[in-house]
Amino acid sequence: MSLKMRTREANGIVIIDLSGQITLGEASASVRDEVRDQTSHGSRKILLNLADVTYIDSAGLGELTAAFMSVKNRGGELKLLNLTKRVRDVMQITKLYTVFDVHDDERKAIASFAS
Amino acid sequence: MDLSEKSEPGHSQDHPSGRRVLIIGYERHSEDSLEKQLASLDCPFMHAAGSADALRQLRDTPFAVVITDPETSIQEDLALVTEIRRVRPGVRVIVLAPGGTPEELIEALRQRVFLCQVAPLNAREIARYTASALEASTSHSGIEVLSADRDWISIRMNSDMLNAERLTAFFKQFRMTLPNRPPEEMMIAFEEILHNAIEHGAQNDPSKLLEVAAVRTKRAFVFYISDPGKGFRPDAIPHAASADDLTRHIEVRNKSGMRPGGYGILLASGIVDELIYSEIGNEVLLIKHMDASERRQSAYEESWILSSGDETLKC
Repeated sequence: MSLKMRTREANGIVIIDLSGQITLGEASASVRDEVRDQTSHGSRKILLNLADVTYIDSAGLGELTAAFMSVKNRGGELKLLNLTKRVRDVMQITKLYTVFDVHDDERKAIASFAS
Repeated sequence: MDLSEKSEPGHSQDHPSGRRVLIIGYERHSEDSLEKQLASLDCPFMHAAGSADALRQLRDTPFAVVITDPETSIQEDLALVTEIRRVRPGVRVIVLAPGGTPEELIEALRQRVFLCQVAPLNAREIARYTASALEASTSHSGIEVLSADRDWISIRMNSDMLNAERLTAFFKQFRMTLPNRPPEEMMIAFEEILHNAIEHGAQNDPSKLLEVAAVRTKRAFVFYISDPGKGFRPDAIPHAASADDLTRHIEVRNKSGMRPGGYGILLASGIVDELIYSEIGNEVLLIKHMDASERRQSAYEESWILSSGDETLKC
């Protein structure tokens, strides 16, 4: 699988560190599964750290957006952290950066949930 | 129709029983070595000292995948591929080389190697393709070159995602050998629309065939993709995102049991200058214009490369 995930927690925020490519197939589905797993355990504040995501395709964008809507519909928030240039480019081309709350600093991202 | 059966008799009959990889060339122990990456993906491998040793081992032992020595040329590797197929017709070959011309890359595609990569090599990517080659079905793996030169390549392929990935990898490598090259992001647009053709046009049926062409003119780069589907109206697809509303389609996809997605056309159309569908909607052109400054830069690069000889094509 071309995507690795590590989940940790800080100040009540679930942070999922993603590494690799979020592309069509098993990799993008695993993001969905992890977010679903976290929300089913009651987590409502989720931060996806994309610092080590080298590439994302339209299927990956779909997974992020579906996860965002799913958390939002449960009254929670899903935010993005540390977009690489390639991911940021794709987000800008599709204008999806207008949908997500995107941060470059983990500490500030965590603080933004509280506010 | 299975293109692989057409040109590789015995392919399915002689599928190697071993799920093993044979790496030609000396063993590397660096942190980012191919060996380390293959091990991380649970791909069992052995080494061969050179071509003769590889053929000897292949006679004795079934291997599913052979990876050539990155220090031998594409021409040398393709000669070896012919020998390998005499011994083990079903084996998949990944060609690694220090460099390559557009013509050599086309020849590798004609010879139906699984993948051809030239330096600088990415061990992680090669390991990932190797894992795919080990897992892939023996049938429906065909990519057939209908005609090709450096300005116009026509392909027919069985419609599966692995073929799409292999073909995209070919065009990415091919692009790097061209003096007048399309922008890198055009490959993203191509891959997105190719995925749509496979998933929606061919309904993920690998027995169905797609046709693909890539054309390079003085002022533009063009991809053409044709699928065997019934087509669609690009302005009437509720399961795809629109620029006006980026999330409305999610509910449509949820209700119809589709996987999350729907951003392919939006992404592709944001990259290319023109995305033109035929009347039926099962053929599409992706066109990227080169502006005057890009053309001047390309002319400069071309003259520099021509005057520098083949060495500049080697990475």
